[in-house]
Amino acid sequence: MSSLQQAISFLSGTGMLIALAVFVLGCLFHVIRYIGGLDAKKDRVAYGYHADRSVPGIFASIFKWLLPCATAGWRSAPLTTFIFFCMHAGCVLVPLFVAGHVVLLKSALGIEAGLPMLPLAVADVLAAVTIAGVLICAVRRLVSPFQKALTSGADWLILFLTGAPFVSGFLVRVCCPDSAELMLVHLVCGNLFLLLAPFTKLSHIVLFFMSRAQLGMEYAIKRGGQTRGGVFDW
Amino acid sequence: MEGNLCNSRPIDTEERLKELMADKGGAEYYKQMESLDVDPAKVMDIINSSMTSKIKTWLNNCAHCGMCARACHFWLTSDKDATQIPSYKIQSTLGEIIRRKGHVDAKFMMDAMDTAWGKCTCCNRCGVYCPLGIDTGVMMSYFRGVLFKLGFIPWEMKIGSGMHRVYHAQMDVTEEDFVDTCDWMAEESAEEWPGLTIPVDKENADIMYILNAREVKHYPNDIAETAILFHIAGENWTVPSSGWENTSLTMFAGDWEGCKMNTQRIYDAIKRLNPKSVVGTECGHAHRATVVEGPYWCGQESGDPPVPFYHYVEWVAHALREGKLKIDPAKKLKGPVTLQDSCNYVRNHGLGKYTREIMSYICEDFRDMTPSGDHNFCCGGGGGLNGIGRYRQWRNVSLKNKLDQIQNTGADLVVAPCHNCWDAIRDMFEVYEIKTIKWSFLKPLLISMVEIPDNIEHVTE
Amino acid sequence: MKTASIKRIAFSLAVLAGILFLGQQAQADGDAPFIKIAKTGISAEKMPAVVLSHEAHIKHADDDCSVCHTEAEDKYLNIDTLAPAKRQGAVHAACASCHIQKGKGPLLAQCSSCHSQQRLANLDSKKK
Repeated sequence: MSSLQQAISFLSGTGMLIALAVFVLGCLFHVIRYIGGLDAKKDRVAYGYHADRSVPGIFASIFKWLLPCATAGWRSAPLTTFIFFCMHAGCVLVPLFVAGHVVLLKSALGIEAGLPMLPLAVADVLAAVTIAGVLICAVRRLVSPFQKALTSGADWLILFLTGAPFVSGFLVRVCCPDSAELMLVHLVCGNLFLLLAPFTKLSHIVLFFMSRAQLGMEYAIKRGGQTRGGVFDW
Repeated sequence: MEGNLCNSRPIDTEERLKELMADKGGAEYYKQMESLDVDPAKVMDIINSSMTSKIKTWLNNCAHCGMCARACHFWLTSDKDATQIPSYKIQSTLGEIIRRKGHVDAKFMMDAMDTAWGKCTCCNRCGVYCPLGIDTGVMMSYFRGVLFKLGFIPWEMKIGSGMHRVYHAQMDVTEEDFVDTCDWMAEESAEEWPGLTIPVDKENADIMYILNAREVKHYPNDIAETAILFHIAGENWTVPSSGWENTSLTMFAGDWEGCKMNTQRIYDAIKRLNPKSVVGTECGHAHRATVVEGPYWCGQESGDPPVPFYHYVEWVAHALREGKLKIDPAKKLKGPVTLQDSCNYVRNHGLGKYTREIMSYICEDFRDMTPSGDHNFCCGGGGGLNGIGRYRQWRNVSLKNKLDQIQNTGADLVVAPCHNCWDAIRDMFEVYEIKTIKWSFLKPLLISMVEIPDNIEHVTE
Repeated sequence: MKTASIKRIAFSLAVLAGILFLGQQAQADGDAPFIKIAKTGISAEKMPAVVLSHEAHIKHADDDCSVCHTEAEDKYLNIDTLAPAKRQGAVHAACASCHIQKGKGPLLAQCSSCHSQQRLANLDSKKK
C-alpha cells in the first residue's frame, strides 16, 4: 500500500475513531462542566424547584428555537434565519447520514447497524447549500454592520473548519471521484473538525442546548414564563 | 488612589452621603475616579468568585451574529452604531477585562462604566432575541456589581445606594416621615371618605402595602389614592412602619449587599406583621428587586418570597375581576389609550396579561403598541438611566424609539404603571415637544371612574 | 484574521482543486471488460452500483476464482445466502480486506472509485 493509501486507511479507520472519541468526550465534558458550573444562588435561579414550570420552559426554549418561524427572534431577521437554517441543515444531516460516512463508521466500529443513508442527490443539494451558506456567512462577517465590529479569529476558524470538509467532500463528488489525494484532504479536514470542535466555538453543538435550557428555566422559574406555566412566548 | 468622594467603599454614613451630594453633578467625584487604581488581582478575584458557567458560556460562545442589535432600542436609535450592539457592549467591557486578566486602567473602567449605565438599561430584550439565549441585560447587571465593588459607578448611583443604606429608602425619608405622611393623608382623605384609615403595623391583615419613597416625599396624594381604593374595595390592609420602602436603587447600582438589606427589611416586616399577602405600588424595578430577585438575596431557596407578593396591577386586576372595584361605564376612557409594558414586571415576570385585563375594564379604545407585551421595548429610561445626568443626552436619543411606538398607536393617553416608565414618557414628551398625548399611573384613572358602593360614605362639597 | 487570511485560504483551495482536477483527468480507465455487482441491497439513488474490472481481479487473485466465487461460478461472495441487510457490510469487508492485503485497489474510504457513476454509465450505454 502506498503511503497515501496508508494515510487514507488510518484517517478513515482508527484515526477517525480517535477524532470521534475526542469529539464525543469533549462535548460530554462541556455538558458536565456547564451543568456542574451552575449555581442557584449566584445565578439567582432556583434550578431545583418548580419543575412543573421549568420542564416545559426548557422544551419551549429549545424546540421553538429549532424551528425557523417559531420565535420572534428568528422572525425579526428573516434573511439571516433562512441562510442560517440552510447552512445548519446540511451541517447536521450530511456528516451524519451521507452513505460513505455511515458505511465507514459501521466498518470501523465493526457493527452492522448504522444510521439511515441519504440519497446521493439529496446529500449533494444539502452540501451545496451548506457551502453557499458558509460562503455567505463569511461575506456577511466582512460587510454587515451587524458583524464587522464583532467578528474575531475564533469565528473565522470555525467557518474554515466547517467549510473545508464540505468543499473537499463536494469536490470529490462532482469533480474528482477517483482522486485519492482529494479524498485524503477531505479526511484530514473532516477529522480536524471533529478533533478541534470541543476546543472552539463549535462547542455550541452541545452548548446551544445547555444555554437555551438554562434560559428556559430562568424564564419559567422567575421571569416572564412564570405566569404561563413556564412557557415563555419566545 | 482612593479619593474621599470616589472610592471602592459603599456609602453607609449620612456624613459621607451629604458630602457626596454636595459635589454638584459629581464633578469632583468623576475627577477622582480618573485616578482610581485598578488592581488586576482584585478584579479577577471578584469575577472568579462570582461568575458561573452560565455567564462564562454566554461570553465564550457568542457567535457574533448580531441578531441582538435589532432588539436593542439604543442600537435602533443610533444609526447602526456598532458600539451599541449588545454583544459588542458586553464583549468590549466584561469580556475584554477577562481577556486581559484584569489588566485595565481607570480610563478603560470609566468607559466600561459609561457602557454599563449609559448604553444599557438591563431591559433584557436582547436576551429574548438571541438564538443561543445569551441575556446581555443580565450580564450587564452582573457587571455593574463588579464595577460597584471597584468604585467605578455613576455619581447618582453611588448616592442612591447610600440613600438605601443610610435612610432605608431611596430618598431621605425616614420611618417617622413615612408614618407622619400616612397619618396626614388619612386625615385629609377621611373628610371626603369618612371611616377611611391608613392602618400602620396592623397584624394579620390580608394585604401589607409597600411603596416608593418618592410618593411619600413628592406626591403623597398617591398614598391617599391607594387608601381610597383599598377603602372602596373593602380590603383589610396595613402599611409597615419599617420595611415600607419597596424600591432598589441598589439593584441599579450593582450593590448586592444593599439589595439584600432592603429586601430583608421587607421580609422582616412580613414576619413581624404576618400579612396574608403583600402588594407593592406601581413600580417596575421595585417588583423585580423585591419579588423576582429579592428571594435569592435573602436566602429563599425556592426563589419565592415568604408570602404571596403582588404588583399593584395584579391587585387591581383581581379587584376588578372579583367586583371589589366596579367601573362606572359612563366614566370609562373613551379616547384611544395605549399601555406601557414595564420590562421589570412584564418581560421579567409575565404580568402583561393583568395590565391588559385592566385595560379591558377601563377603556373602550385600547391600542396595543407594536411590539407589545413580553416583546415590548424598554421606555428608554430604566435601569437607573433616568436619573444619571452624565448620560442624559444619550438617554434622550434612545427615548425616540418608545416615542415612535406611542405615536404609531394613535393614542392620546399612555397608561404607565411604573415610576421610571412614567418619568421617561414625561421626559420624552418634553424633549420632543409632544403636547397632545397625556400619560398616567393607574390610581388616578381608577379613582376618577370607580363606582362607589352603597356601604361607602362619600362626602362631596 | 481578516481579508488577507481569507484570500490566502481561497487561493490555496483553488490551487488544490486545480491540481486534483488535472490529476484525475490523467488517470487511465483501467482494463475492460467491466462487470456490475448487483443484489448488494443498496438502492441506486443512495449509491451507484459497483462496476469493476474482472480482468484486474483475476490477475490479483492469482487465477484462483474461489476467492470471490465462493459457492459457484455464477455466484459471488455468498451474496445469495446473506440476508439483504447484511450484504452491504459483508461485501465491503470482503473487498476491502483483500485490497488491503494485496496493497492494490481502492480503500473503503474511496467510495467513488468502486461506486463510479462514470463507469456505470459507460457500462449501461455499452449494453444498449
